[in-house]
Amino acid sequence: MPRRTKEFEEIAIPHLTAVYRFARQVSDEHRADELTQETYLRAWKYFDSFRRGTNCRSWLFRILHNVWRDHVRRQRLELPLIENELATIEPYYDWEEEFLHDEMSERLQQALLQLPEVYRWAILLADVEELAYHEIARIMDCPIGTVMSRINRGRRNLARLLRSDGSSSTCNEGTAENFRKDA
Amino acid sequence: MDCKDFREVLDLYVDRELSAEAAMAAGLHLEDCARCRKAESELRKMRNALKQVAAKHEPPPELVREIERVTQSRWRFLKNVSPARWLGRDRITLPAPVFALLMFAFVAVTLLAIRPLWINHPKSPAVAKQTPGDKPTGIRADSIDLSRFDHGGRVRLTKEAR
Repeated sequence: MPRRTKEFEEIAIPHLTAVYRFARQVSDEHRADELTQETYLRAWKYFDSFRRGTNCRSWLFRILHNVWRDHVRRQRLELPLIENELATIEPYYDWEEEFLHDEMSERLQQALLQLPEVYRWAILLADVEELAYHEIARIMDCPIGTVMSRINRGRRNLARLLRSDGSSSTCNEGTAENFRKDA
Repeated sequence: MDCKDFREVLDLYVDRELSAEAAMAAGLHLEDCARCRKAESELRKMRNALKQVAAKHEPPPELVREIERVTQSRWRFLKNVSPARWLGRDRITLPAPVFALLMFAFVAVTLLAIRPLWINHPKSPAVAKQTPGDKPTGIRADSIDLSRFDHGGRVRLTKEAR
């Protein structure tokens, strides 16, 4: 077996499941197959440019992000814009009420689909893949400050979607006010 | 560190992006603050729930086989892939046996093409070498010397009177 083939099978193929699962979260089932296949086609084509010893999973997700972006551009004229996307972190107080219950994977999946795609990418890369912020920045081709902002807002929006989907009816503004008085 | 400060860095703390000093300060605050401990706990629960949701999906076996064929047999894979994807390729590689066969064919054709040149080469053993001025054996003295047509003595032309 050629050395290149052997290295690709040892280094890149083991991440196929992770790549597919991620593709499944940012697209539907049919498109996830296409995204995964195209990602590995490009990875095989440009495997000589991959520096051995570096994080191959991160490299594959970068390719996946480029493939996904090309697919989006083919379908629309431009990438989805997030209004007022500033690199700011907001202190939030939404986590004090319990809103996560045992049987809520379906609700969580639906809430995830409602998030803007760039937020979804950011929190999936941080929470599911547990990549460092600088790796996420490289994958999404944006500054680290933007990554931090997207993670912050993505998690807050996700929590609010879950909460508004029918569990607690706590008013977030009230919670914040109560907290500020106590502080 | 107070609660407001901690909430600002909660994401960074959970993602292990804080410096060692800041992480230590955050950890100390958590020891004393039940509300912030609750907030940290809920965020971690959501992260774990996301992992479980993502782990539900497995790649279809046919997709895995298709991708593995890319490395094991590129030509078989090409049948299942749109040709348009391969138009922009930088290079084309061949399997070793095919390449060896092509090289052998190239060498054979080249040898056949230069064979006439090789036969007429001065150093070829097929040509009897004769130095200018020497009379070939068995040639009569009154024969016409046509050596001016020999172009350097490769062949000595003679004419015999019958």
